[in-house]
Amino acid sequence: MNRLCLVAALIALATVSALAQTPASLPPAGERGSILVRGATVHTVTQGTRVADVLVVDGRIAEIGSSLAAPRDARIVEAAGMHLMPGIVDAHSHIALSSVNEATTPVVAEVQMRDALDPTDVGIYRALAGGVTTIHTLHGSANPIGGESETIKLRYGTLDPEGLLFEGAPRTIKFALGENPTRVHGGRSVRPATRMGVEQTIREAFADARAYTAAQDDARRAGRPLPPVDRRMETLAGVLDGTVLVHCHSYRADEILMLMRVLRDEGVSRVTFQHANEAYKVAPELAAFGAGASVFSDWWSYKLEVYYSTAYNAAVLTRAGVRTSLNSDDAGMMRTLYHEAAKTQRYGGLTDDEALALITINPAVQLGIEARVGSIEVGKDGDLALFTADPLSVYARVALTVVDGVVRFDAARDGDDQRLTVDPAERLPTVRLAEDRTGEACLDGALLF
Amino acid sequence: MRLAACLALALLAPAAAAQGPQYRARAGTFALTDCRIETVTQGTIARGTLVIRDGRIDVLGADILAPADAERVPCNGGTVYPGLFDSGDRVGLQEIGAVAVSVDLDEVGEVTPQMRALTAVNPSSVHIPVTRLSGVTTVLTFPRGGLMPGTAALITLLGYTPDEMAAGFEGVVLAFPRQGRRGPGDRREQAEVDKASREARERLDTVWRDAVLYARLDSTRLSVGGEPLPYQPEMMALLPVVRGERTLLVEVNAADDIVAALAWLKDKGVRAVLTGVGEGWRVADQIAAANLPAIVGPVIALPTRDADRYARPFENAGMLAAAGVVVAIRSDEEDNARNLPFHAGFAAAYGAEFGFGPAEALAAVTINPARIFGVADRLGSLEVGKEATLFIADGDPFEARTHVTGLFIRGQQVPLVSRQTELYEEFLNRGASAQ
Amino acid sequence: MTRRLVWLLLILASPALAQRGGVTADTPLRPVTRAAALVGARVVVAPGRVLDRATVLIRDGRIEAVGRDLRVPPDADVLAADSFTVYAGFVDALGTAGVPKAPELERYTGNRGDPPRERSGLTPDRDVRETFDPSEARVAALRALGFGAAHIAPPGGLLSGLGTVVLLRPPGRGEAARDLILTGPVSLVARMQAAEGVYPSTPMGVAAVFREAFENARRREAQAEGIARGGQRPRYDAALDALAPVIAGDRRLVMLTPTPLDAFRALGLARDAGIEPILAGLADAGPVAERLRAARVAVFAPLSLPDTVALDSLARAVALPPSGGVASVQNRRVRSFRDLPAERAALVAERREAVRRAEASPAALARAAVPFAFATIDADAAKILPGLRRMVRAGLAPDDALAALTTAPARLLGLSDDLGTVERGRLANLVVVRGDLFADSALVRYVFVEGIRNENPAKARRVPSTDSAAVAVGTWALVVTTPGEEQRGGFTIAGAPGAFTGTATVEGETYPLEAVVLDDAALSFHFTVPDVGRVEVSGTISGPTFSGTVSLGSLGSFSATATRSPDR
Repeated sequence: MNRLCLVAALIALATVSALAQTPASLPPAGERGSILVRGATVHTVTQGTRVADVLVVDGRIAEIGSSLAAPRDARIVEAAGMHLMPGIVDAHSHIALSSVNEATTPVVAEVQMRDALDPTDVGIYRALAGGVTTIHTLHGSANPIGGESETIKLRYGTLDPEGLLFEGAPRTIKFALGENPTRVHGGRSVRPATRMGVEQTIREAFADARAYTAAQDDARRAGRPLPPVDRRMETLAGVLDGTVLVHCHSYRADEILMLMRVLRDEGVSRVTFQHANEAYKVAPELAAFGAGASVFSDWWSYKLEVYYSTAYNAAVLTRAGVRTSLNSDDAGMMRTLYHEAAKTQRYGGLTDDEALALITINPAVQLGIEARVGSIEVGKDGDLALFTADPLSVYARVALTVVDGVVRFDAARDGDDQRLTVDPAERLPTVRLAEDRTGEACLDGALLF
Repeated sequence: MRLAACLALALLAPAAAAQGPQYRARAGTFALTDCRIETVTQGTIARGTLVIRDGRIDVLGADILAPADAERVPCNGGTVYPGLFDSGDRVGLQEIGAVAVSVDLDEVGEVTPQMRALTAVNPSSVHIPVTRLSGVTTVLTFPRGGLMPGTAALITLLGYTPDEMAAGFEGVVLAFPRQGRRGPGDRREQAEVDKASREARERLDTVWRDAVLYARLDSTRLSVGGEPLPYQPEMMALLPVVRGERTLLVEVNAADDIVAALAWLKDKGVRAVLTGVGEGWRVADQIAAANLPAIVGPVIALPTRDADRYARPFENAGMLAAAGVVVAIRSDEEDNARNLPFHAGFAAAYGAEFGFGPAEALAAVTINPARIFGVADRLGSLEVGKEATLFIADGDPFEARTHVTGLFIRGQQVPLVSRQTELYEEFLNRGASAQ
Repeated sequence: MTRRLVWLLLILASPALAQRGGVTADTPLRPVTRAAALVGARVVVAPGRVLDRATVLIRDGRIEAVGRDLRVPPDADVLAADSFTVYAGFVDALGTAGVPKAPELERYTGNRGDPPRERSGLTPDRDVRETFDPSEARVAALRALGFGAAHIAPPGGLLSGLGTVVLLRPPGRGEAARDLILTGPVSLVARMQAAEGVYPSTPMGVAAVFREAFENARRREAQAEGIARGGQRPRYDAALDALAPVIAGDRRLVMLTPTPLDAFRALGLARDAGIEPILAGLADAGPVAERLRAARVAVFAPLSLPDTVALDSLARAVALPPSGGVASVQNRRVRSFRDLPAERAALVAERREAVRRAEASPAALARAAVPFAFATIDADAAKILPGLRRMVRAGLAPDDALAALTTAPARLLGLSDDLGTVERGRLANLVVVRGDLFADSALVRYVFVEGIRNENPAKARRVPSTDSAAVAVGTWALVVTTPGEEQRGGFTIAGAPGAFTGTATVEGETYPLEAVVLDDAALSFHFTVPDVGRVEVSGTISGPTFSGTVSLGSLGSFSATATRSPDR
């Protein structure tokens, strides 16, 4: 071989593709990065919108201003003409999970989604590609009282599920009202078969939890050995003492009112109604209770209890002063939450900040993590989404998604295949069409037997 | 079961009756003034007037004076667009997904081409006003299920009877047999998958052979006379397809299946359109070579394979168009056909790198489907003499922040009302009751 | 007279010879002698300790002596072993040899939320000894490979039951299955499986039950003592009672964790429960190795491997780095239908990489100093030894492999005094092999289990050889197709699998080859040319031809073919 000739030929023809993010090269979950995004239109959501530099140092937003200097190890992104917003927070999702519903019994407060986290779900990467950085991944809606849900950060690349945990996020639990629990359990002749039964199932569970706690406390006070632990009751006791926040799957106005009555009786004050397609009907009551609502932009009519829906739901709630978020409940839609937010400008004329708040600071408040994420403010986590255009435009694409100051999605370096694990025995690729995805993610696994 | 059905029907009754006089459209002569006019086929008029008379576009242009007898409808700088086509959804056939008695999509039987969507389209469906307020005026509504679910119908989203709604196109649906698994949840053994696919393919070939035979016998009868052919509704429905008089809508998505469908169609001499075409980008050259149009969608969807690029469904339309395929876009929705403009918007946002921008996306929801369905003489663009099926928007209709400010279907002014707007108006600031 | 005396002694030494139930056609014959001598063998006493031309003496099921110049007793059955290597009998760290499948449960119509504990998988008190059946086919199949003892576990779900160690031989005259059971319960095996249709039906339900069970097992002791102080009496709960020895550290908790995700979950659960578990069945330990080392958790590594993935002509066109990572293929971006062949090839390459990771998994454990032993679990017996050889080719030191079959399982199961080495006093479990155990040509000829000799056919069934050493070795003329012209060069390979050496010749200059690896028919190596950098060559050998790619990192890769000179 003529060495020089070979080198010349190689260099001339080399298509030097930049190294993509690959599982092998992805930064570990514990990494906290530094990055300077220069000259973008910055939608802080809470403190206005202006052209500025945003500097993240060691995973935290250190400075917002002009002509900022970057520390030596920081990545610098020239973003003039682009738009920067806080990393999107999805208050309702079922991705990154091995299972969704422990549907065998109506009250399963003891199960925890953190035990079912699957960090290899390529859905995590796809959500990052939609600007999402934090999600609330929930137990399904098969049970009046489901399991504990989990708030996670999308640190794609780790195989250790604990690497995804949002450190210090409050515990949350899934409740569910209406058709799903009554269909799943009532269909097996187990209570509840009606909305009346749902109410009583929840009231009984709280009563049991109070009795359990009293027995444990008595034994503790008397210095007697503790009676057996019951993790179901322990979690419900956490709901009663306010350490576990309630997120309740609900659709109809009557059932939303019912749960507010129950919670008021039990002295529980923090609740977010999930989906809540008819929340618009009881917006004043929700506002008076201080309850949140996490709704769809426009999903409706897939079953009877969502037939009397309106896409103006988020707008009515926002105008009534209800803390409102938009969620996906869906691995596909969670990639376009910015677009879902934009729909509230068509349906009810929300301002840019109001619309963006629905997918950032508002869900953060509902999850109790607003001190860390949900807006671009100094001291908050360096979770950012950089768009090629106004994120409320249908033509906007995500250019960069940053979690803890670490770039976890970069459109310029994006390779096709982002799976973390590959099945060596899979000879033919599996093709999944839209028609293969049936039913609600919320009911995954609930009706299989 | 009968009791449950009755109960469900009782629940639905108010829905059917819900559309009161506030929904009635109004015929007349209208002059849309101070409008930007996006004709689609003849460029954009920056500021002009469009006159609607007798249900048709009477005249349009920059220097048109509004006729004295015309009611003036000022656009206030808004843009007039031809009504958008959703080239595949289930509007009018499904009311409430989980309430089986309100869903008329899937008739019993694998081969039921005689099942006409137009028969079951419910003109009082609450979905119709909800959909048209997005500028979607014309939809191809599909039955589904089985090998040949039925005959899809192009309908206009205005009318008190299905016949009033019929928009001049029907096509027989063929769900081309799938060869692979139905997603990761499909736990069948490979042999079982292969057998099912083989059997479906054999059934298709058998049906087709029968249809060709039926058509030949029918031709013989026509030329030499003889007894009428026996009543054979499936074959009667396929007859115009075999003769190339009616379009075969071939629903096919996986790349291997598309290739198989192209091979199957090659010698059939039928007029065919591919629908779905989810993995069309993989075999775009072959689709282009076969000279078949593709109705693509849903665009806002997940990739078909775990190893696929996250944005592939967004890019599919653009990649197909880049290979020379004529593309129309569909929402494939039951409940949210109103999102068709957003599907088009995403195709434009991610198609740019393939030369497929907003103009191409607009064609894919207007003139392209009009041509594919053979109704371009009446629909799909703003031209003198065409049906006045159009809308006024205060911005780009693909943008979510845009509002439709005026809507005309066949020259009738349609009120901008749907149950969703009514609920909004009823409950916005309703005031607290004592709880 | 002497012979009669020996018989008498034997009978006295073996009190179980009496056939309690009468003799049937299946009753084994009485043994002729209980002594044996393997003479002149290469004896691997323990991994790394070899005695050449040594003798092993066996009496009454135990090793009596090992050494050179030993006197062979007159009553010994003598095996001339001068062409054999003798290893300690293998110990299956976890398997199901001799364990009947659980009977199918009848359809359950009761309350799904409160099923009988068997349905929930809560059977930690289920004792595998009760159902051990040495006539089950797997016992003989594993024995034929060299396994003399196995740690077996009962079937079950979440907390399946108690494991024990058994000898993998048929019962002798007057023996029953129970006589082959070597130990009491040594483990609690947790398959961590969800129940079907009843609680707990999901991974998170399983975790919840696991957490609560261990927490309550810890409370029980105090509850029992607390009755006097007015506490509630602890309710009868055999399941919780079976956890006490695990909590006390007297019994190992073995958790089945096939994937890294399972392993991470199990490590978290065990940590929260205050238990130091053993993880079993982990197919790709690489990503977990550091955590395992830090948590000082041992692994029962599976002996099953995924099948190798063949490279077709398209897949060959994609250059994979010879070691580590699939970065080059995951950068792939399909821009049109024209890129699909490359995509297809890349997907094959990724699957190959997944196989490689599994093959390299034991080596990763060894590198991270994580204690591990090999477990058959549910491996196909015919694939076990070939799989073991693939693991050695993937970088596992033969001594580490041998240890994982012998000393390591013996130690982890607390049986180092009985199993794992060829030393005086150990049970006479021996594997007699013609050739080196980790060479494809090896033949396991005899397997002794507790002194009882089992003979395999003298000629192994012909398995398709995966040993291509003869094919790789030689002098090759190389043609690289670069844009515009063909470049010519050559390479020479010598040595044997795992220790290939070679040189490449480029424009009259010679460079040493590095990392010459032959994996089935896939050959890869690299060398460094000044000014050009690292040149990576990979491809497939078929007879006297090689086809593949020559790649220069990010500069690109080019297709290459080579022909082996016929003179070798």
